[in-house]
Amino acid sequence: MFVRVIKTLSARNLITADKEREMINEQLRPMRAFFDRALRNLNVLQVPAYAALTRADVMKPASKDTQDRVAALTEIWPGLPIDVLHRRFMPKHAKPLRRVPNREAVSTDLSVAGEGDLL
Amino acid sequence: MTKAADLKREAKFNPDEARQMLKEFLDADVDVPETHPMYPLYMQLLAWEDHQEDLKREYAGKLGADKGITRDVARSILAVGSLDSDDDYMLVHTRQALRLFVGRGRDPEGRLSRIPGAKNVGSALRNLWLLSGQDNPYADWMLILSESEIDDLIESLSKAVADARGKIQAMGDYGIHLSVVRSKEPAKVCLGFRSPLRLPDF
Repeated sequence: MFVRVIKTLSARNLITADKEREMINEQLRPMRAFFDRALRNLNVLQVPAYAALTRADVMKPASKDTQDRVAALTEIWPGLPIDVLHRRFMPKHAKPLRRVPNREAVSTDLSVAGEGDLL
Repeated sequence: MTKAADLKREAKFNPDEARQMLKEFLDADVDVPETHPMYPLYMQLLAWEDHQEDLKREYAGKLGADKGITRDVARSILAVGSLDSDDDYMLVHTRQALRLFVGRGRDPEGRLSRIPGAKNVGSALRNLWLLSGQDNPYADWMLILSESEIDDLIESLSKAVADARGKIQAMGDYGIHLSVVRSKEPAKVCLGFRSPLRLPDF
């Protein structure tokens, strides 16, 4: 709809062709930047070693391998918010959990894990 | 005996009471002898139990459907498939919007830069959403950031559309009523993915 409205202005000579391009690009740029970021984020999380991580792994890695994987992901994305880690802040469209971590119980004690554990 | 009398007798029949009275035989798991005074009561209990079994069978056979519904009609409930719909699609009227949707792949000659398309982004967000459902906190985090960015983009776009529409409507004050241009043959693009996240209407 946005492009059509801008093109309507241009077609009726209410704005110039240059202004039309400028207005469209102004909206397009942040959108493309977001598209780039979204795909980059998925590329990282598609790595099986990272995709398989759960909250329990991040809070209390059960093995050296898990610890290394969490450390590597923390280097890419430092500062996982504590509220996200403890599920107090979730995506609006969060999907109901399918995989219940059974390796370790998720601790609800806030002193057990913090951002410090991730760095 | 009339049907009314049958019903009356049936209404009065209390199976618990009958079982209590026939307890001696039922516990021993033996039939009541035909000559025994309790024999008619025993027969009544057996008839009542048979009738109850028939009712249960009929109820199960009709999948719990109400009175007056035939077994065939009731069982058609099993033939109803799971909910589905045709592919979601979007009508795109301009080349710019279509380019944003389909993106641009890597140019083999290296002259044009790659542009990720909204369709692939939608698919990427769906994958993040699936990982979020597997208790991956990083997927949740990235999804939260994406949701926030999408909200900002939608807000910015809505404001830009409202501003531009305002200019078009303002022409109405001069008696000039402009309609928004549209393609005679808009491209119908299938979204091809299903996730609750929506992308901006460019």
